[in-house]
Parts: sequence; C-alpha cells; structure tokens
Amino acid sequence: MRLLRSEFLRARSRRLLPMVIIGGLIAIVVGLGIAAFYAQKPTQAEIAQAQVSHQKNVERCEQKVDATQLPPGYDDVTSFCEDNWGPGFDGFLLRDLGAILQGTATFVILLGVLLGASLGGADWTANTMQTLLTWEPRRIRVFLIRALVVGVCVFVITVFLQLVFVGVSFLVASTRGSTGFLPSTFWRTVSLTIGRVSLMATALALVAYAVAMIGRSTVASLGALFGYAILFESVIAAFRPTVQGNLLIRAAIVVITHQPLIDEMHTVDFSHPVLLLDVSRAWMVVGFYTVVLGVLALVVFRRRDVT
Amino acid sequence: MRALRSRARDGSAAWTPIYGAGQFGPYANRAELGATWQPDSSTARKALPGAVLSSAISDAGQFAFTSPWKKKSLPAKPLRRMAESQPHVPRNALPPFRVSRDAMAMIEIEGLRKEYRRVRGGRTVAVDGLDLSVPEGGVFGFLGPNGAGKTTTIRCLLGLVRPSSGRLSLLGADVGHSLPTVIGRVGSIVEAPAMFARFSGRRNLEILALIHGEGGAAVDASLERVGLRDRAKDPVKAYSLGMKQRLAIAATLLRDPSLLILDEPANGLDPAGIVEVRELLRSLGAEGRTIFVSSHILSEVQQTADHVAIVAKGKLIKAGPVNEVLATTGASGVIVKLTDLEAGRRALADAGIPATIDGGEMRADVPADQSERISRTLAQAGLYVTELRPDTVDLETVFLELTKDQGVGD
Repeated sequence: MRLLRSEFLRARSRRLLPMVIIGGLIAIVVGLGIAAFYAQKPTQAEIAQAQVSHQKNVERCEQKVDATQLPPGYDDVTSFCEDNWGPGFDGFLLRDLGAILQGTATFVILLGVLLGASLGGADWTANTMQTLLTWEPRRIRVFLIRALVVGVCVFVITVFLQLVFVGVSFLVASTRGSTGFLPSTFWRTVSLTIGRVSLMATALALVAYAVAMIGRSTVASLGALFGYAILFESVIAAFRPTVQGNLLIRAAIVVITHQPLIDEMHTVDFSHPVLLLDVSRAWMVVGFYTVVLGVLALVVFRRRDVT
Repeated sequence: MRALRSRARDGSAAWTPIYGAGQFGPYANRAELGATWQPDSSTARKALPGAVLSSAISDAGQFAFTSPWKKKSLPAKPLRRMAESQPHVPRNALPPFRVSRDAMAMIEIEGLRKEYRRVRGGRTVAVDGLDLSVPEGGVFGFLGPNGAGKTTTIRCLLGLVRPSSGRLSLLGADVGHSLPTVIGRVGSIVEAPAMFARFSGRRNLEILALIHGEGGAAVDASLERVGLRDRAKDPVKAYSLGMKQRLAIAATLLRDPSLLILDEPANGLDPAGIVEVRELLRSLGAEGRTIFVSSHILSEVQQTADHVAIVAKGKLIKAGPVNEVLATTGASGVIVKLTDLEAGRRALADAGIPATIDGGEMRADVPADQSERISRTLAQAGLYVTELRPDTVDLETVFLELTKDQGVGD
C-alpha cells in the first residue's frame, strides 16, 4: 500500500500527465471548435423534413433486414435500423457521437501508449530504478504495482477526456447542430464505446509498459510498438491475410468497433461472411498479448541485473 | 534489545538474539545460543507457541524460526524463558556472553564472484572470490582503483546484481532471500545519486519516504540534516553536484538506517563539497551507525575510516583497522634535519639508532615515539636539529605497495 501511494505520487508528479490532459483538452476544444465553425444550425423546417425522411428510412430498413443476422451489439432490428439509418441531412448531429468516438479512439490509444511507455521507461532513463530497488527490493511487487498505476492512470485519464469530448460535443450539437434523432440505445452505445476505447488504451498502455521494462527505455518501447503497428502488422496482413485474426491492433479495432473482422477475399455472400476475428475472440487476443508481454517483462525484470 | 544485550554482558544469560528479535520485521529472526545450550526444536516450539521453526542454520548452536505475528516483534520474554528453562544446565553454569565477530558483522561476504558475459563472447570477472566482514559501528572504507569491483560488490549487496556465486548477508540476513526484511535499516547510494531531475528535491524524498511509511516530518528532518531545507523546492536539475550528493544522503537518512552503504560519495565534488561530505560521514559514524563507504580517493578514506579493505581486480588485498593496514609496509621512522647530517648519522649510529641520509635530510629507522631519544642523542653530541618529524605512511603509499603486484593501472 505504501509503495502504491508512492508510485501514484511519482506518476502524479510527472509533467507528462498534466501535459497529456491539457493537450487532450486543447485538442478537443480545437477539433470541436472547427466542427462548430463549419456546422450550421438547421431550421425547424429542415428538422421536420429530416424527421419524416428518417422515419421512412427506418421503416424500410426494418422490412429488409433479417433479425437473425444482426451484427453484435444489437438486440432487435429497430435499434439496428435507428442506429444505422440517419436522418439524412448535413450538420453536426449528436447521434453520430458513437462513430466519432470510434474515430478518435486512435488518438486516445496513442495517449495511453505514450503514458504506459513513459511510466515504464522513465526510471530506466533517469537511472532511478536502482534507487527504487534499494528501497523496495521485491521486484515482482514493484512491477505489478507500477503496472496497476499505469492501468489506473490511463483508464481514468482516457475516460475523463472522452467524457469531456461528449460534453463539448453535446454543447456544439445543441448550438450548431441537432441533438435529435437519437436511437433508443444511444447513451448505452456511447457509454460502452467509451469503456471499450479506454480499456483498449489501458491494455495497449500495459503492453507499452511491458516493452519499456524489457527494453529499459521509453523510446525503445515507442519505437518497437510503432514499428510493430505500422510495419509488421501491415506486412503480415498483406502477405498472410488469414493471420490477421491473431494481430494485436486489428483485435483492438474489432473490440472498439464491436464489429467482427471479415475475410473479404474469401467471402462470397456477405450475408454469410467468413470471419477472421469475432468480437469475443478479439478480447482474448488483446488479453493474450497483454498478459504474455507482461509476464515476459516481469521475468526479465526479475532476473536481469540492474546496473 | 539493548537491555537484553547488556544483561547478557553480565554473564547472566547464555543466549543472545542477534540484532534483536523482530527488529528487522516479522519475517525472520535468528537466535544464537550458548555453546552448552542447544535446545531442540520441541523446546523452541514450547517456549514460543505459534512460532514456526523453519530450519537449522549451519553454524552449531543456531536455529531459525519465523514469526507468525505480523508487524510485531517476537516476544522477548518467551525467548528468555526458553533460555532459562533448560533443566539440565544451571543458569549460572552457562557460558558468558559470546558474540562471534561474524555474528556482529553488519556485512558479510563469502566467496563472492561476479562474471559478466561480453557481447563478443567470453566473460569478464568483476569480482573474484571476495571475502569481507564489516564490523558494527564506525566508518569502513572500501578501497580500490576504478574497475576493482567495488560498485559491483555493492550492487550485489543491495540485490541489484545477481552474484555468480558466493554468499552475502546484510545485518545478518541473507541477501538472496531475506533482503526485504532488513532493507528498511540500510541506506544506500550506488554510483551517482539518481533522482528525477525535474522534481524538486523535496518531492524526490517524499516519493521515497512514502515507501517506508514516512511523512513530511522525516523529509524535513533529512533535508535539514544535510543543509538543503532552503533549496528543497528547487528542481534537482538546478542543484550542484555536491547538493545532489547531499540530497542522496538525505534520502538514505529517511529510514534512520543503522547501516549506510555509500559508493564514491565524494566523487566529482569540489574541495568544499568533499569537506562537507566528510564531516557528514564523521557525524553519522559518531551516532553509532555503520558506514560502508567505497572510494578511490584514499586521503579521504584515511581521514574518516576506522577500518579499510583494499580490493584490486575483484580480489581482496588487505583488510583491517586503518592503523594495521598502514603498518603493512613496515615503513616507519623519523625524519631529522640538521646542519651536519654526517655527524648526526654517526652520533645516532653510536647510540644504536640506524639512520640513512637522503638528500638534505636524515631518516632514523626507529618508531616515531622514540623521537625524544634521537633529539637527546644529537643534543648530547652537540648537534641541534632544525626539524624532527615522524615519517608517516599514508594510505596511498600502502595502497600502491599492496596493489603493485596486481598490475593496477596497467
């Protein structure tokens, strides 16, 4: 408990944390400010017309979609149709927030990776790890408590930033767009999306932390992860598409979007797609990478000399 | 514990709990028993209900047990009862207090060897079969040239580096298994003081103090002790090297350690900084703490240490009290200056004092405490000295003498 308090104080004292939070807030304000600038408040007539159009679209969808083939996350056809058939006018619609949050997930995850790598690598860079270990020589305890701190910090910060994003989006939609046309599952969908994005940011932060502890450097961790994400996964996906179901970043995308990864090359009938990765397995893939890299980092940290 | 120990010094008790039952936490305790009194495990179990007798320690007359009483000392009374309850051995027949040097050693190293693998194959031996015992109290200098294995030894002691072979113990606890139980009483600095440069000095100490459950008062006291209270809020990157060194020492004092392990604490300091650190070490040693300080600045160690160990190329060359080590070379005498050196030499030779002339002075081969005899002999011969001083040997001379066969500096 003492070590946990100490680690939280250490994390809180890092400049990176306020920088990430302030940077995130600035990005939210600037991004949504630009959206608000280009958005136009619809008139009452436009809203009424869109309402009629939206109703028709939903009814048409309900007639066509087979209730037995709904994608994951939908309990009935109506909620699926309300969610996927919009009112059909341009403008800033609050109902698009779920999709926007999925789009901003990349940045949220990058923040998590940055925090995880930094909290794991800073002690090696500053050479303070040996100071810490002369106070607490139980390395397993040090590793696990620091992982806990990384996880909690990243989860809390990413949830906070996304909630701010939702709040500012609501403000922009109220003043420069529309808060109408919300499907019945809207707030549940938004909440679950925020949760999934933050969990993926946390998982990838822990992966970055593990790599930083193995490489004993923040830069090494970031370099390895970006190399993996940009080069390795892309190359593998291009040459061996069937392996995609086992790749970390693709699994994280499946979890966040809550949509399975489809093998488009081998799918003949899209009503019966060939799945490379379904949602439940994607959770397992992300968990597997996190746990395996965590255990590997722990073993390395426990056995290697600290010089 | 002190009461128990003083009782034992009277010869009134035959056993001595080493370092005090439970002083190092609830996890492991050792009791050394008198040679004529060795209870078996059932005796120990009866006397200490609830204690778990774990395993016999290799030395005769010692056993180990583990306390189930979390965060509590092992009770002293049952231990005393156990000692007194032996029916076959009258209490006054038990041997007097007996503490072996090993038992009181704050640091014990036996056969320490550390090899590093080279990137291009092969191995580098950093420490090669080092044996060392550091007694309780005072300043112990650990000397050696760069690359002698001092820092590696310290890292092994603190569990930072895994030894290739050998046994190490700190405050009686085996480093490999029981280091966490004693680390709270050990303060250490390894190589350069490593702190977060952007954090304030105070924040750096607060982070460490929290691990030990200490609060702001302990931080303030430590900062005050090293004279950094006024600069506590400044970021460490704004500190001079001497201030960083003092901050690192302040960090070690947070735990009120009984053993301080300092690796080159005066390294890179200006003369004023060296004096500051020297005074600090002296005052800490005077408080009864054991200070284990490694250095290659021999004059510094000579001024502060009570005992020294000299290592070179990973091996122990010489260890003992400073005076004993200084006497190793056998070089002692008295330097005499006078107008007629040859007449002086003859006068001393007539009195049975061998002397040699070297340059503008004469060296009499007698101990320094016989200076008066030299002065009197020369005066009786009508020769008057202009200077008379002991030909002292410094640690540097001894060090160079002892390490010349080791090829140091090659």
